[in-house]
Amino acid sequence: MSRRGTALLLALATLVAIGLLGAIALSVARVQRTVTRQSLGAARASWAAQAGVARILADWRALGLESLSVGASASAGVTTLDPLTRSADSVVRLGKSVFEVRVSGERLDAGAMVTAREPQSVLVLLLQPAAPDRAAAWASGPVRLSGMASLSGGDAVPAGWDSSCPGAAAPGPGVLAQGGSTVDMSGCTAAGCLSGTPPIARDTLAAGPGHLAALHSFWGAIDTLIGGTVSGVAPLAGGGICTDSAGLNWGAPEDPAHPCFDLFRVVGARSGTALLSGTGQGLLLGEGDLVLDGDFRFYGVVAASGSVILRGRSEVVGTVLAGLSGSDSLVLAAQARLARSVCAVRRALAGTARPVRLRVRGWFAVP
Amino acid sequence: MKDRRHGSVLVDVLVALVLFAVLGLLGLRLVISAERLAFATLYHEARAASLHGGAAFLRRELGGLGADSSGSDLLAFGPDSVVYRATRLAALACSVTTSEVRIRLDQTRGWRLPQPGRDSVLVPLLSDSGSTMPGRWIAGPIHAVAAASCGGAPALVLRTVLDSAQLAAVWLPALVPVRTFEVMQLRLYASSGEWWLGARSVSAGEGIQPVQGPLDPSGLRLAGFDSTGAGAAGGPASVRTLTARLLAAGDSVTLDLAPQGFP
Repeated sequence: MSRRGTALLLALATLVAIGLLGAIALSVARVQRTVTRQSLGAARASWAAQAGVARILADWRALGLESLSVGASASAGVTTLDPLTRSADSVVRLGKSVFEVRVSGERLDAGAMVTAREPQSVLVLLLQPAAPDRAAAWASGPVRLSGMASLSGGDAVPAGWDSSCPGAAAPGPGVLAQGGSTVDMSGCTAAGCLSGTPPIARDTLAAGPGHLAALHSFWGAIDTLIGGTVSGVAPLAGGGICTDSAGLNWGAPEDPAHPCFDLFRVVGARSGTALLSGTGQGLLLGEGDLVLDGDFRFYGVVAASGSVILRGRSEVVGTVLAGLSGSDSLVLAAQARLARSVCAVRRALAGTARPVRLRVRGWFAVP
Repeated sequence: MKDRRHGSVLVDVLVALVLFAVLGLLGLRLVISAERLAFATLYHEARAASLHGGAAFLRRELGGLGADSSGSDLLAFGPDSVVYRATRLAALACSVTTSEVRIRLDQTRGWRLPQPGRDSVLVPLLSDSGSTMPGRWIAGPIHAVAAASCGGAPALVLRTVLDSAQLAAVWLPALVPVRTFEVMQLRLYASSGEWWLGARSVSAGEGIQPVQGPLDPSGLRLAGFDSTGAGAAGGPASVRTLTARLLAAGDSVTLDLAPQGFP
C-alpha cells in the first residue's frame, strides 16, 4: 500500500514541478512577446510618421499648401504603409516661407485599436533660389550682339500676366558686365539693339559669381535633365489638370488660362545643350555652354556656368546670367531677343521654391 | 506462539516514515528550486523590461538634440555621463523681442510649461525670405512667466534677454517656432550597493534621482561619433550621432541615437 502511495506522491510532485516550469516558460514568453510587440509597434509608428513627412514634401505642390494663409492649418491626408500602419498628417503655415508639418504615426491591432502612436513635428522651409533682377543680363566676360538681335533692360510684363504681376518696375541696365568685359554691338543691323538705364553697367561688386554658384546649388533639385538637341518643349494637360510628370512640360507662360500656367521647372542642361523649339518657364541651369535657337522661348532665369548663346528667333523674358568659356560670355545673334522682366524672374524663383526640412533642430518628438 | 506482527508493523511504519520524510524532502527541494527559478526568471524578465523602459527614456531625452553654428545641445559627454539641453516644450510664438517671447498656449507641445529660473528659451534666427537655410538659434534665460494673449488667444509671455543684434538681422515669420529647455545630466551612479541610471536638472541644481535600474556596474555606455563616423575626439561639439548601451543582469539594449537636429 505504502509503495502505491509513494508512487502517487512522486508522480504528483513531478507533475507540479513540470507544471510550474511550464507556467514559468509561458510567463517568460508572454513578457518577451509583449516587450517585442511594443518595440516593434513603436518602430512601425515612427516609420509611418517619417513616411508621412516624406510624402508631404514630395506632394507639396499637389497638396496646394502654398495657398494656405499664415497661421492656418490644413489636413494633408493619411499616409498608409500597410492596413495596420498609418500616419495622420497636417501642415501649419508659420510665415511666408516657413511651415510646420505635424504627423502622427500609428500602429493598429487587428481590432483597429491604436497600440502605438508616434507624433512628430518637422519644420519645413520653402527654400527658393535667389537671382538678381536688376539687369537683363549679367556677364562674366565679353558680350556680343549682332544682326537683328535685341537686349533690353526695360522691365517687360509678359502678355496676359497683368493679374500675376504688380506692374512694370523701373528700367534697369541692359548688361551688367563684370570688370572690364567688352560689349560688342558692331554687328547689329538694327538701331538700339542694346537698351537699358544705362545700357551697360559695371558689376563693381563682382556679385555675379556668387549668384551663379547659389543658383547652381539647386542642381540637386532639378526636375528635368536635358542634353544634346532638344525640341518640342510644350505644356501638357489632360482633363483640365496639368500633367506635370511630362519631362518636356515646362509650364504654359504664354497662356494664363492653361492649367500649367503656374507650373515652373528647374531644368538642368548638360554642357553643349541646344534648345530649338517650344516654350517654358522657371530656372534653366546650364552646367557649361547653353544654346537657345529656333523659336525657343523661356520665361524666368537662365544661368549657365559657360557661355549663353541666343540665335534664330529665340527669346528669354527674365534675366540671363552667363559664365565664360571660350571667347564670349553672352552672344545674341540673328533675331534673338532678351528682355528683362522682374515679374518673370520673381514668379520663376517663387515657383521653383522647394520644401526643405530645417536641418538644425527642425525635428521634435511630441510626447 | 508469540504474535510478532506488532514489531513488524512498527518497523514498517518507521521505514515508511523515513521514506516519506526523504521523499518529502526531495519533493520540497524540487518545488523550492522550481519556485526560486521562477522568481529568478521573472526578476530577470522584469529587469529586461526595465531596460526597454530605460531605452525609451534615453531615446526621448537624447533623440531631439541639435547643434548649430553657435554650439551643440550636447554640453559634456563621457562614457557613462552626458550633460545636455533637454527640450521641455515646443511652441509657436506670436511675438519675439529682445526682452520677451510670447507663446500661444494652444500651440504648445511638450512635457511641461516653462519654469522661470530653471528653463531657457531657444529662438531660431529664421528669415522668412526663404532664400537661406537658418544656421543658428539663440538662447536666453527665462526670468519670469506671466499670462498674456496673442491677438485674443491665451498666451504666456516669457521674460528673457535675447541678443538684439542677431535678432535685428533676421525677418522672423509671423509664428516663430521656439523651444524651451533645461540643462540636464544623465549618468550611471551607485546607491545602496546597486547601480542606477540617474538624472538631475543642472539648471535647477537638483540632486541625482534614479530613472532606471538596478543596472550592472558598467550598465551605461555612451559613445559619440563625428560626421565622418569616427569617434568624436573633438568633444561634444563634434558629436553628430550617439550610441547608448544599457546592461542589466546579463541583458543589454543598444540604441542608435541619430539626433535629427544635428546638421
